[in-house]
Amino acid sequence: MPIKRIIVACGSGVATSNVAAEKLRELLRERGVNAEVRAIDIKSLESEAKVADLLVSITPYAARDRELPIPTLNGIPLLTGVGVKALIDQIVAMANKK
Amino acid sequence: MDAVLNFIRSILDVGPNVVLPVIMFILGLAIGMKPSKALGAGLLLGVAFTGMFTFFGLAFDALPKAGQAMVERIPGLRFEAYDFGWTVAATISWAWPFAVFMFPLQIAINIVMLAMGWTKCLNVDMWNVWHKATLGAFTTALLGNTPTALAIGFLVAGLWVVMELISADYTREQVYNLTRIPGIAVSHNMLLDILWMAPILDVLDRIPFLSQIRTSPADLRRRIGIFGENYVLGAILGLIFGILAGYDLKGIATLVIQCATIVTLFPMIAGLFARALAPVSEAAQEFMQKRFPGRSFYIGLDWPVLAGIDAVWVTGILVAPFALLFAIILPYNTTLPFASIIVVSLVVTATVLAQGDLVKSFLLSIIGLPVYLGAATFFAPYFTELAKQTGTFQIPEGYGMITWLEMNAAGLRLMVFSVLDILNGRFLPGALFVIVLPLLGWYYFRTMKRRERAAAQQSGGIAGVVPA
Repeated sequence: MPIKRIIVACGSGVATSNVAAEKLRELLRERGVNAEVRAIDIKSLESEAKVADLLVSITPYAARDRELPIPTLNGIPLLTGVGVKALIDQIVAMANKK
Repeated sequence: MDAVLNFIRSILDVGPNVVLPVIMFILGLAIGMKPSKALGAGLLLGVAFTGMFTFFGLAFDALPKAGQAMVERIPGLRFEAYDFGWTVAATISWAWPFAVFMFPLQIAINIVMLAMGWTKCLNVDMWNVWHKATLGAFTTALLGNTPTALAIGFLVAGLWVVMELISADYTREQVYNLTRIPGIAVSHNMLLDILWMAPILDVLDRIPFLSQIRTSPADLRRRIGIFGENYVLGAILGLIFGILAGYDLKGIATLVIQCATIVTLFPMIAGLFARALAPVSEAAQEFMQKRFPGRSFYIGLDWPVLAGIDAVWVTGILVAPFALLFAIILPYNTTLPFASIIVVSLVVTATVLAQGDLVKSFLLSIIGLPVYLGAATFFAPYFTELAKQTGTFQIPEGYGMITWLEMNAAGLRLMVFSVLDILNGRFLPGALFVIVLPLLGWYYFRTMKRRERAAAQQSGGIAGVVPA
């Protein structure tokens, strides 16, 4: 399934997730990926995951026991700047898969 | 100096929603952003401010009206300050004319401390710069709005930056044990309240049966389900407030929807601040990382990397009814808990210190609640005055005050402001904290190494080794 809708979760859906989402949006645009990136509140994760294709999480450890219907990627590189390219490569590969 | 203050005052008259975008644009260019990007960031900042003002004007009076009705009906209640959460607190703080200078202050102190080897944390969290603006603005107000007061305000803000970095160093293994994310630390100022929570936890640890209670935070979190969502929490509070205020059915139903709307929309609008500041944050990060290539340091992040810990939300939901109960029964309290009733900063700090033990983080939070209510009550006039001065929010006379229950490191802020109050000639309780603070500091450094070691033993250590 091609990735069209990406959610980025943080504690309030305001600061950190928006910073990460903004960066992700820009990096994907540079790579020609046309996907909607939305920052969400982690407390609404279960309901938001139903209308998304991919979760990029800054709390990757929390995805284990949540049984989400969508894949999860570790979004920490978006914050630290370490390993960003690998993360974007992965998303681009997922987005281009038909 | 008067000329400078007058100049600033004349700029302020234009309003922060017009002035700050301009400052932001200039700042953006100064740190090497493309003009189009800097312009976009500035504009978005103006949109965020205007959005917050507009919505605040629409939403504000529902809560004070209900609060006043409660006070009139129920003897003993004295609500005067209304908790609008961090979104409103941050908006007021960003509107302080000197707020943007906290960016260079934080970056400069961090670079010096890294270069001198006094910290290993490179704090890239530029969002929480606003806490330093709050501290600077309130210190300046406490000490009489003079140039000297302003200088001391910057000194306090600088001290906060130093303490945040040290706190990140001393909590790193404990954060890793909870998150298993390598290469990071949490440099958020909320963790500074570990200073006074640590001795309390050590007392709790001595109660034998406490450590034996087994809980399943993951299971409990799933059961919270929809009650954890902001708008549901807001609606429940609207229902309780409406009943306490003695409203009729239509009045209660209206308040339920109004309260749910406030807690849902404020964060949505405040999200625009984060989007506007994201490129600035990125530029600052690049600026700092370029200066320390190849050096061994780790990245300091905002607290939400801890938001996936189940114990955080379970503790928060359990604490909320107590926040309301304590607000009603504590004689010194005048704060009506609302937007930050789950007191995130308190429960996250308690969770980190208690290392995910739900029983202990709950008890620590309950013990901390009176402190946070005290701080919210104490700082309410400061928030309200700053909001009026900067023209951020219009608060009609007789409508009470704005405050923020979940004020980060509320305990330490109260102690520091009591000490600063000595400069105004009020020796108590400040003199007491002049003695207490060094003792707490001594205890902190003495016991944090032990806690770090214990956490590393559980996780195996960040680098695969348990620190000595």
